[in-house]
Amino acid sequence: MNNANLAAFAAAYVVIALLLLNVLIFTRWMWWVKLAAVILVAGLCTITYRSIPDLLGWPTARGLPARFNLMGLQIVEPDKGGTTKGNIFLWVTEMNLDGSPRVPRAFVLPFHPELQVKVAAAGTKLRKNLPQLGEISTKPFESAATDTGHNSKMINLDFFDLPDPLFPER
Amino acid sequence: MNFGHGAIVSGFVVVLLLMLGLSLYSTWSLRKKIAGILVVTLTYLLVYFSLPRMLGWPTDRQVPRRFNLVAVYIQEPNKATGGAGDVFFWATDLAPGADLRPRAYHMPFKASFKSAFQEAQGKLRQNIPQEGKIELDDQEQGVPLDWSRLGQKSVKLKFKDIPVNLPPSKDAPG
Repeated sequence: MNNANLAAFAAAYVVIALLLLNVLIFTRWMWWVKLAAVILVAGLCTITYRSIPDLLGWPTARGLPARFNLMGLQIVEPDKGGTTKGNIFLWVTEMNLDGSPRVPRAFVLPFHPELQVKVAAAGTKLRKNLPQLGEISTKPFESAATDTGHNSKMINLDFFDLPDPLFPER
Repeated sequence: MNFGHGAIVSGFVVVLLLMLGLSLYSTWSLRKKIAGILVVTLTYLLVYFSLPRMLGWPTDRQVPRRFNLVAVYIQEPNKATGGAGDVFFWATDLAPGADLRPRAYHMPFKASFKSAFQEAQGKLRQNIPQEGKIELDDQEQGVPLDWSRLGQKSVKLKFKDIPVNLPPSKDAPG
Protein backbone atom coordinates (compact mmCIF):
# COMPACT_ATOMS: atom_id res chain seq x y z
CA MET A 1 0.00 0.00 0.00
CA ASN A 2 1.63 3.25 -1.03
CA ASN A 3 1.42 6.67 0.56
CA ALA A 4 -0.85 8.11 -2.17
CA ASN A 5 -3.61 5.67 -1.23
CA LEU A 6 -3.25 6.49 2.45
CA ALA A 7 -3.37 10.18 1.55
CA ALA A 8 -6.68 9.60 -0.25
CA PHE A 9 -8.17 8.10 2.89
CA ALA A 10 -6.72 10.89 5.05
CA ALA A 11 -8.30 13.42 2.67
CA ALA A 12 -11.63 11.64 3.03
CA TYR A 13 -11.42 11.90 6.81
CA VAL A 14 -10.63 15.62 6.54
CA VAL A 15 -13.67 16.16 4.30
CA ILE A 16 -15.89 14.30 6.76
CA ALA A 17 -14.53 16.41 9.64
CA LEU A 18 -15.16 19.63 7.71
CA LEU A 19 -18.70 18.56 6.84
CA LEU A 20 -19.39 17.71 10.47
CA LEU A 21 -18.00 21.06 11.59
CA ASN A 22 -20.31 22.85 9.18
CA VAL A 23 -23.26 20.79 10.38
CA LEU A 24 -22.48 21.90 13.94
CA ILE A 25 -22.05 25.58 13.04
CA PHE A 26 -24.44 26.32 10.19
CA THR A 27 -27.49 24.18 10.88
CA ARG A 28 -30.28 24.90 13.35
CA TRP A 29 -30.64 21.29 14.38
CA MET A 30 -31.42 20.38 17.99
CA TRP A 31 -28.31 19.91 20.14
CA TRP A 32 -28.97 16.21 20.60
CA VAL A 33 -29.15 15.67 16.84
CA LYS A 34 -25.75 17.36 16.50
CA LEU A 35 -24.38 15.24 19.35
CA ALA A 36 -25.71 12.10 17.64
CA ALA A 37 -24.01 13.19 14.38
CA VAL A 38 -20.68 13.65 16.20
CA ILE A 39 -20.95 10.22 17.85
CA LEU A 40 -21.97 8.58 14.56
CA VAL A 41 -19.12 10.12 12.59
CA ALA A 42 -16.53 9.38 15.29
CA GLY A 43 -17.71 5.78 15.50
CA LEU A 44 -17.67 5.24 11.76
CA CYS A 45 -14.25 6.85 11.35
CA THR A 46 -12.89 4.47 14.00
CA ILE A 47 -14.53 1.44 12.39
CA THR A 48 -13.34 2.27 8.86
CA TYR A 49 -9.82 3.00 10.14
CA ARG A 50 -9.70 -0.36 11.88
CA SER A 51 -11.22 -2.15 8.90
CA ILE A 52 -8.58 -1.14 6.38
CA PRO A 53 -6.05 -3.77 7.58
CA ASP A 54 -8.83 -6.34 7.19
CA LEU A 55 -8.85 -5.66 3.45
CA LEU A 56 -5.11 -6.03 3.02
CA GLY A 57 -3.42 -9.21 1.88
CA TRP A 58 -6.38 -10.58 -0.06
CA PRO A 59 -5.97 -11.02 -3.80
CA THR A 60 -7.30 -8.37 -6.13
CA ALA A 61 -8.82 -8.84 -9.58
CA ARG A 62 -7.48 -5.54 -10.92
CA GLY A 63 -4.08 -4.14 -11.80
CA LEU A 64 -2.11 -7.23 -12.83
CA PRO A 65 1.15 -5.85 -14.30
CA ALA A 66 1.71 -6.41 -18.02
CA ARG A 67 4.94 -8.27 -17.21
CA PHE A 68 5.70 -9.84 -13.87
CA ASN A 69 7.84 -12.28 -11.94
CA LEU A 70 5.81 -15.24 -10.71
CA MET A 71 6.40 -15.96 -7.02
CA GLY A 72 3.57 -18.37 -6.27
CA LEU A 73 0.27 -19.74 -7.53
CA GLN A 74 -2.80 -21.60 -6.44
CA ILE A 75 -5.44 -23.04 -8.72
CA VAL A 76 -9.01 -23.65 -7.56
CA GLU A 77 -10.89 -25.66 -10.16
CA PRO A 78 -14.62 -25.16 -10.66
CA ASP A 79 -16.77 -27.86 -9.11
CA LYS A 80 -19.16 -29.90 -11.17
CA GLY A 81 -22.15 -28.66 -9.21
CA GLY A 82 -21.48 -25.11 -10.40
CA THR A 83 -21.34 -23.58 -6.93
CA THR A 84 -17.65 -22.67 -7.34
CA LYS A 85 -16.62 -21.04 -10.60
CA GLY A 86 -12.94 -21.65 -10.03
CA ASN A 87 -10.12 -19.16 -9.70
CA ILE A 88 -6.46 -18.88 -10.44
CA PHE A 89 -4.52 -17.05 -7.74
CA LEU A 90 -1.15 -15.55 -8.61
CA TRP A 91 1.45 -13.99 -6.32
CA VAL A 92 3.72 -11.78 -8.38
CA THR A 93 6.18 -8.91 -8.29
CA GLU A 94 6.50 -6.35 -11.03
CA MET A 95 9.12 -7.47 -13.51
CA ASN A 96 12.62 -6.65 -12.38
CA LEU A 97 15.62 -8.12 -14.13
CA ASP A 98 18.07 -6.34 -11.85
CA GLY A 99 17.09 -8.32 -8.76
CA SER A 100 16.17 -5.23 -6.77
CA PRO A 101 13.73 -5.93 -3.94
CA ARG A 102 10.06 -5.63 -4.79
CA VAL A 103 6.98 -6.30 -2.71
CA PRO A 104 4.87 -9.16 -4.06
CA ARG A 105 1.17 -8.58 -4.70
CA ALA A 106 -1.63 -11.15 -4.87
CA PHE A 107 -4.06 -11.33 -7.80
CA VAL A 108 -7.02 -13.49 -8.70
CA LEU A 109 -8.00 -14.39 -12.26
CA PRO A 110 -11.11 -16.18 -13.46
CA PHE A 111 -10.52 -19.87 -14.12
CA HIS A 112 -10.00 -21.01 -17.69
CA PRO A 113 -8.77 -24.51 -18.61
CA GLU A 114 -6.15 -23.18 -21.02
CA LEU A 115 -4.84 -20.72 -18.45
CA GLN A 116 -4.80 -23.50 -15.87
CA VAL A 117 -2.48 -25.57 -18.08
CA LYS A 118 -0.11 -22.63 -18.60
CA VAL A 119 -0.04 -21.62 -14.94
CA ALA A 120 0.42 -25.20 -13.75
CA ALA A 121 3.36 -25.64 -16.17
CA ALA A 122 4.92 -22.41 -14.88
CA GLY A 123 4.42 -23.66 -11.33
CA THR A 124 6.23 -26.90 -12.13
CA LYS A 125 9.19 -24.94 -13.50
CA LEU A 126 9.11 -22.62 -10.49
CA ARG A 127 9.42 -25.62 -8.19
CA LYS A 128 12.50 -26.64 -10.18
CA ASN A 129 14.08 -23.27 -9.36
CA LEU A 130 13.47 -21.88 -12.86
CA PRO A 131 12.19 -18.31 -12.30
CA GLN A 132 9.16 -17.56 -14.45
CA LEU A 133 8.34 -14.35 -16.25
CA GLY A 134 4.64 -13.83 -16.90
CA GLU A 135 3.16 -11.60 -19.56
CA ILE A 136 -0.42 -10.62 -20.35
CA SER A 137 -1.16 -12.07 -23.76
CA THR A 138 -3.22 -10.27 -26.37
CA LYS A 139 -4.15 -13.61 -27.94
CA PRO A 140 -7.64 -14.80 -27.03
CA PHE A 141 -8.20 -18.29 -25.67
CA GLU A 142 -8.75 -20.93 -28.33
CA SER A 143 -11.76 -22.33 -26.51
CA ALA A 144 -14.56 -20.26 -25.03
CA ALA A 145 -14.98 -20.64 -21.29
CA THR A 146 -18.73 -20.87 -21.40
CA ASP A 147 -18.79 -23.68 -18.90
CA THR A 148 -16.86 -21.76 -16.23
CA GLY A 149 -19.66 -19.26 -15.70
CA HIS A 150 -17.35 -16.28 -15.34
CA ASN A 151 -18.84 -13.08 -16.65
CA SER A 152 -15.73 -10.97 -16.12
CA LYS A 153 -13.20 -10.46 -18.86
CA MET A 154 -10.83 -13.37 -19.23
CA ILE A 155 -7.11 -12.62 -19.10
CA ASN A 156 -4.74 -14.80 -21.07
CA LEU A 157 -1.14 -15.14 -19.93
CA ASP A 158 2.12 -16.45 -21.34
CA PHE A 159 5.04 -17.62 -19.25
CA PHE A 160 8.72 -17.68 -20.12
CA ASP A 161 11.83 -18.89 -18.34
CA LEU A 162 13.57 -15.90 -16.85
CA PRO A 163 17.14 -15.64 -18.18
CA ASP A 164 19.94 -15.96 -15.65
CA PRO A 165 21.26 -12.55 -14.61
CA LEU A 166 24.44 -11.79 -16.50
CA PHE A 167 27.39 -10.78 -14.40
CA PRO A 168 29.46 -7.85 -15.67
CA GLU A 169 32.85 -8.71 -17.11
CA ARG A 170 35.86 -7.80 -15.00
CA MET B 1 -13.97 -5.14 15.34
CA ASN B 2 -13.65 -5.28 11.58
CA PHE B 3 -16.26 -4.93 8.87
CA GLY B 4 -14.09 -4.71 5.72
CA HIS B 5 -15.90 -3.32 2.73
CA GLY B 6 -19.12 -2.78 4.72
CA ALA B 7 -17.39 -0.20 6.92
CA ILE B 8 -16.13 1.75 3.90
CA VAL B 9 -19.62 1.77 2.37
CA SER B 10 -21.08 2.92 5.72
CA GLY B 11 -18.56 5.78 5.69
CA PHE B 12 -19.84 6.79 2.25
CA VAL B 13 -23.44 6.74 3.51
CA VAL B 14 -22.64 8.90 6.57
CA VAL B 15 -20.91 11.50 4.38
CA LEU B 16 -23.94 11.48 2.10
CA LEU B 17 -26.28 12.07 5.05
CA LEU B 18 -24.12 14.91 6.37
CA MET B 19 -24.08 16.56 2.95
CA LEU B 20 -27.82 16.10 2.61
CA GLY B 21 -28.38 17.68 6.02
CA LEU B 22 -26.18 20.62 5.09
CA SER B 23 -27.89 21.07 1.73
CA LEU B 24 -31.39 21.06 3.24
CA TYR B 25 -31.01 22.72 6.61
CA SER B 26 -27.90 24.93 6.59
CA THR B 27 -27.79 28.68 6.02
CA TRP B 28 -25.18 28.23 3.29
CA SER B 29 -25.51 30.09 0.02
CA LEU B 30 -26.22 28.10 -3.16
CA ARG B 31 -22.59 28.45 -4.31
CA LYS B 32 -21.27 26.98 -1.07
CA LYS B 33 -23.71 24.07 -1.29
CA ILE B 34 -22.64 23.29 -4.87
CA ALA B 35 -18.96 23.54 -3.87
CA GLY B 36 -19.65 21.18 -0.94
CA ILE B 37 -21.32 18.64 -3.22
CA LEU B 38 -18.40 18.83 -5.67
CA VAL B 39 -15.82 18.32 -2.89
CA VAL B 40 -17.74 15.31 -1.54
CA THR B 41 -18.09 13.81 -5.03
CA LEU B 42 -14.36 14.26 -5.63
CA THR B 43 -13.58 12.59 -2.31
CA TYR B 44 -15.87 9.68 -3.20
CA LEU B 45 -14.03 9.17 -6.48
CA LEU B 46 -10.62 9.48 -4.78
CA VAL B 47 -11.45 6.79 -2.22
CA TYR B 48 -13.22 4.59 -4.81
CA PHE B 49 -10.17 4.51 -7.07
CA SER B 50 -7.67 4.24 -4.19
CA LEU B 51 -9.31 1.22 -2.60
CA PRO B 52 -8.43 -1.37 -5.30
CA ARG B 53 -4.83 -0.17 -5.27
CA MET B 54 -4.62 -1.12 -1.61
CA LEU B 55 -5.72 -4.69 -2.23
CA GLY B 56 -3.35 -7.56 -2.87
CA TRP B 57 -0.45 -6.12 -0.88
CA PRO B 58 0.79 -8.10 2.11
CA THR B 59 -0.45 -7.33 5.60
CA ASP B 60 1.57 -7.54 8.79
CA ARG B 61 -1.50 -8.09 10.96
CA GLN B 62 -3.82 -10.99 11.63
CA VAL B 63 -1.27 -13.67 10.77
CA PRO B 64 -3.13 -16.95 11.38
CA ARG B 65 -1.92 -19.28 14.13
CA ARG B 66 -2.10 -22.28 11.76
CA PHE B 67 -1.70 -21.89 8.03
CA ASN B 68 -1.03 -23.79 4.84
CA LEU B 69 2.05 -22.27 3.21
CA VAL B 70 1.64 -21.54 -0.51
CA ALA B 71 4.75 -19.48 -1.30
CA VAL B 72 7.57 -17.54 0.36
CA TYR B 73 9.69 -14.57 -0.70
CA ILE B 74 12.59 -13.53 1.51
CA GLN B 75 14.48 -10.27 1.18
CA GLU B 76 17.67 -10.32 3.20
CA PRO B 77 18.92 -7.22 5.03
CA ASN B 78 20.99 -4.98 2.80
CA LYS B 79 23.84 -3.12 4.49
CA ALA B 80 24.38 -0.90 1.45
CA THR B 81 20.82 0.42 1.38
CA GLY B 82 20.12 -0.01 5.08
CA GLY B 83 17.14 -2.24 4.33
CA ALA B 84 16.18 -4.29 7.39
CA GLY B 85 15.01 -7.25 5.30
CA ASP B 86 11.54 -8.71 4.95
CA VAL B 87 9.83 -12.06 4.89
CA PHE B 88 6.74 -12.22 2.70
CA PHE B 89 4.62 -15.32 2.63
CA TRP B 90 1.39 -16.40 1.01
CA ALA B 91 -0.79 -18.77 2.96
CA THR B 92 -4.31 -20.04 3.59
CA ASP B 93 -5.75 -20.01 7.09
CA LEU B 94 -6.35 -23.49 8.50
CA ALA B 95 -8.81 -22.35 11.17
CA PRO B 96 -12.24 -23.97 10.81
CA GLY B 97 -14.58 -21.84 8.68
CA ALA B 98 -11.79 -19.51 7.54
CA ASP B 99 -11.66 -18.00 4.06
CA LEU B 100 -10.03 -20.50 1.70
CA ARG B 101 -8.38 -17.86 -0.48
CA PRO B 102 -4.65 -17.40 0.06
CA ARG B 103 -3.68 -14.19 1.84
CA ALA B 104 -0.33 -12.38 1.66
CA TYR B 105 1.50 -11.63 4.90
CA HIS B 106 4.63 -9.75 5.87
CA MET B 107 6.97 -10.35 8.78
CA PRO B 108 10.15 -8.56 9.71
CA PHE B 109 13.32 -10.40 8.77
CA LYS B 110 14.72 -12.65 11.47
CA ALA B 111 17.35 -15.34 11.02
CA SER B 112 15.08 -17.90 12.71
CA PHE B 113 12.19 -17.05 10.36
CA LYS B 114 14.49 -17.26 7.36
CA SER B 115 15.76 -20.73 8.21
CA ALA B 116 12.25 -22.00 9.00
CA PHE B 117 10.75 -20.58 5.81
CA GLN B 118 13.65 -21.74 3.64
CA GLU B 119 13.31 -25.27 4.93
CA ALA B 120 9.56 -25.18 4.30
CA GLN B 121 10.13 -23.74 0.82
CA GLY B 122 12.52 -26.58 0.03
CA LYS B 123 9.84 -29.10 0.97
CA LEU B 124 7.19 -27.23 -1.03
CA ARG B 125 9.43 -27.64 -4.06
CA GLN B 126 9.35 -31.38 -3.41
CA ASN B 127 5.55 -31.21 -3.43
CA ILE B 128 5.28 -31.74 0.32
CA PRO B 129 2.59 -29.33 1.64
CA GLN B 130 3.67 -27.39 4.71
CA GLU B 131 1.62 -26.39 7.74
CA GLY B 132 2.94 -23.38 9.62
CA LYS B 133 2.20 -22.85 13.29
CA ILE B 134 2.80 -19.61 15.15
CA GLU B 135 3.24 -19.63 18.90
CA LEU B 136 3.29 -16.43 20.89
CA ASP B 137 5.91 -16.35 23.58
CA ASP B 138 4.02 -14.84 26.52
CA GLN B 139 6.90 -15.01 28.96
CA GLU B 140 8.50 -11.71 29.84
CA GLN B 141 12.19 -11.83 29.05
CA GLY B 142 14.01 -8.89 30.62
CA VAL B 143 13.79 -5.30 29.44
CA PRO B 144 12.97 -4.52 25.77
CA LEU B 145 15.89 -3.11 23.81
CA ASP B 146 13.57 -0.98 21.71
CA TRP B 147 10.99 0.82 23.90
CA SER B 148 8.88 1.70 20.87
CA ARG B 149 8.19 -2.03 20.58
CA LEU B 150 7.00 -2.35 24.16
CA GLY B 151 4.15 -4.82 24.28
CA GLN B 152 5.21 -6.63 21.12
CA LYS B 153 5.41 -10.33 21.79
CA SER B 154 8.08 -12.55 20.34
CA VAL B 155 6.88 -15.21 17.98
CA LYS B 156 7.99 -18.80 17.41
CA LEU B 157 7.39 -20.30 13.99
CA LYS B 158 7.34 -24.00 13.24
CA PHE B 159 6.53 -25.98 10.13
CA LYS B 160 5.45 -29.57 9.73
CA ASP B 161 4.59 -31.72 6.73
CA ILE B 162 0.88 -31.97 5.91
CA PRO B 163 0.01 -35.59 5.15
CA VAL B 164 -1.21 -35.92 1.59
CA ASN B 165 -4.57 -37.65 1.28
CA LEU B 166 -3.75 -40.72 -0.75
CA PRO B 167 -6.47 -43.00 -2.12
CA PRO B 168 -7.07 -45.99 0.19
CA SER B 169 -5.15 -49.13 -0.58
CA LYS B 170 -7.06 -51.87 -2.37
CA ASP B 171 -5.92 -54.24 0.35
CA ALA B 172 -7.41 -52.09 3.09
CA PRO B 173 -10.38 -53.61 4.87
CA GLY B 174 -13.80 -52.18 4.18
